[in-house]
Amino acid sequence: MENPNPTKYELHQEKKLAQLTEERRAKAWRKTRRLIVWLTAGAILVGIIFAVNYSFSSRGGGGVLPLSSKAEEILKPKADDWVIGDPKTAKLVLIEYSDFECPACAVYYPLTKRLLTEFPGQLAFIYRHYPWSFHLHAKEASIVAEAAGRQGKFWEMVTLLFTEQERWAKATKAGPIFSEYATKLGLDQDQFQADLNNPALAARVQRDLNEANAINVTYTPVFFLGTKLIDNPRSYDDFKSLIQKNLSR
Amino acid sequence: MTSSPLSKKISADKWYLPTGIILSLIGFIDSTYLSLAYFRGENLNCSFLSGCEQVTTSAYSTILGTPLALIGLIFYALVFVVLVAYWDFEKKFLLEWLYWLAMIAFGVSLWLTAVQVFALKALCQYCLLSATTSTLIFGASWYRRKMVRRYPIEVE
Repeated sequence: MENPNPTKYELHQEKKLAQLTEERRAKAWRKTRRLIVWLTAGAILVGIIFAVNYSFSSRGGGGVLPLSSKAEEILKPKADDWVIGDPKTAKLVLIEYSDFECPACAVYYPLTKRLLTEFPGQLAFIYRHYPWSFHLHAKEASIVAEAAGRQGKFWEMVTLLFTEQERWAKATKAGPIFSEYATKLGLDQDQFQADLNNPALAARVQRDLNEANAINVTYTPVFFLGTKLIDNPRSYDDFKSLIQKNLSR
Repeated sequence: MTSSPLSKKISADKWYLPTGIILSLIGFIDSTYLSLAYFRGENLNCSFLSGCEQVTTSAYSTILGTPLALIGLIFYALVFVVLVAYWDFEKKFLLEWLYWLAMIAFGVSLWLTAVQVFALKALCQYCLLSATTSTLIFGASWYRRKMVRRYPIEVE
């Protein structure tokens, strides 16, 4: 019941009540605000972790979407490709774009070699060059392999390059080491050196590189089964089951 | 934003808090990436963004079995939390702590960068990014501290 003529004391009481209510409201708001601030802060940190983790899984497939018709052309076995097995009669053709100075590539190479022994006749393997510009000796190494190939020792050189990767990759000048490898493989040094300077070999390497870029290769090693991009298998057994699965299709 | 009649705002905080929060979040994202890459064993490929295997798998990359990336992650999370706490509670001691923490982190970053350049002879972009953010966080903290000490009068 509102008193039409409030006394001074009653006015003072009302004022005080209003003040208290206001203070309580402000306190409650501060509590809420504090809760919001900390929940948001926590959500930001947790959100970042999930977002980064998610970007790993979706990136796992490489996110490479080959431009379809171009990819079909590029991912066909070529006459001058370096092949193990026969792509014409093999059921599956595995194409790898690889960098000799890339540690991951060095890890995968023995796996692919082993795979080939497990699926003789059914699986063919094609090695193509993709030397990264930030790997200082990678392009040179690719040309070295091509030069060795000219003397019939491509795969032996590939094996040597990957097995000894740490050594030549860390050297300031890899040339002398590569010459050493040529000798080790019994190659003719003069021809080897001449081939290293042959622009045709550099062009051959560049061609692989350009084609890979045309189909948006963004990491190495990258594997294609036929024209299909596959996720880099996490272990030899995963790799093997992947091949088996595709063979039984 | 005044929560108690005794609190006063410091003008340096107008730039220091947002800067610190942004830097700490950048560092946090970076460390999260490196930590997750470590735990997921993502050395499955080389790409332009990660010429990093040499650095992140080197003997220097762990301390007592803990990957450095994780330690960095904790540091940036701490910076972020301390800054938010300061913004909320406005306690000066928080920023004092932060200053010393940032100094230690800066020293560690400096040493790790030297290791990359001289011992490993390999540079990891993500690690360099973290070195940059921790340096900037320390720089900002140091500058703020200098400013606040020189001009102890607080501005509303």
